[in-house]
Amino acid sequence: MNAYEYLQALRAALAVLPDDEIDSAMRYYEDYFLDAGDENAAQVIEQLGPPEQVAEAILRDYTGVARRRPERFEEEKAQTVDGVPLGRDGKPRKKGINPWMLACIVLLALIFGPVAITVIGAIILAVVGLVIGIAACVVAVPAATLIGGGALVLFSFLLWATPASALATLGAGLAVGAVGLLLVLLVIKLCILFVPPIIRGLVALVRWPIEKIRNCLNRGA
Amino acid sequence: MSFPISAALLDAIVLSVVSREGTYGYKITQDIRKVCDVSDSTLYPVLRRLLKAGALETYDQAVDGRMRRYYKITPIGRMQLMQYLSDWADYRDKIESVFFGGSSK
Repeated sequence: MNAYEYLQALRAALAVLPDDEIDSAMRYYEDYFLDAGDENAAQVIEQLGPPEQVAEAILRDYTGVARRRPERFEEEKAQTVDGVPLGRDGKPRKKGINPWMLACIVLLALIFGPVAITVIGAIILAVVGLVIGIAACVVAVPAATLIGGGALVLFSFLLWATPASALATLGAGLAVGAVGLLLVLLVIKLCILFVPPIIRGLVALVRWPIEKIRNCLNRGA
Repeated sequence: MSFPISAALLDAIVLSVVSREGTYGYKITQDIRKVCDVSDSTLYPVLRRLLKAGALETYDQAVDGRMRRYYKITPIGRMQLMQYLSDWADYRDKIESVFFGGSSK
């Protein structure tokens, strides 16, 4: 099997994935063979293993089965006696949260809850306000420029009594309108470029502490 | 080696390798194989996962008359890497305090 045949077999084995996933994986492995060089192709094929195996690793990851960190499962399975999970000290692990801990948490929540909710609410509102403000500026400036240009063009038709000033106004209106149009296109382009990564980043930021908390809870109280 | 590489540790190693400079799949694999024994086919899923999580991003650069895909770390990736490094330091200290008895705290 040469590199070409290997890549064909890999593509076939990935066929169930969406096109962009297939392209991304194929791009990686095509680069991989090219960077390894023709003379090393046989070695690369040997080290990668059968294409079906390479594909399976990608598919497993795609379907999210591997996302729960299998080695932790193994660890937890290993630490059970008669189905009762053991804690790190080797004693049977209690299920759920220690009642004292629970009482403390409830008490703290009762005392500080209102304050925390107010503060968090204020922060969220401030962030939302800021985002809306920025969005308003980003939308308003090009829109105002565009509309202003249009208004000047319309206004110029009222000035035909003095053709010189009418032409000057028309020219100015067209120029301003063109600048507005360019700004609109620029904003659209910037949105396409920056909005998806920012949203992805925010999702990752929010998910990060939640993941941490879940991991802590999984490890037991 | 007798200690297997966990998924989280592999994520951390990849982030660390990529954090130094924009680099590409074959080179990342070679760099990682120098320090640990991982199968070549495990690397792409790791890169893919890190890309999806926004920790890495790709760009294409012309090399030898073709476009090669490069990977570089994002600010989110840097944050993740810093967390991994501090987790690792804690872990290392604990294990070493057992192995070498109090030479570290």
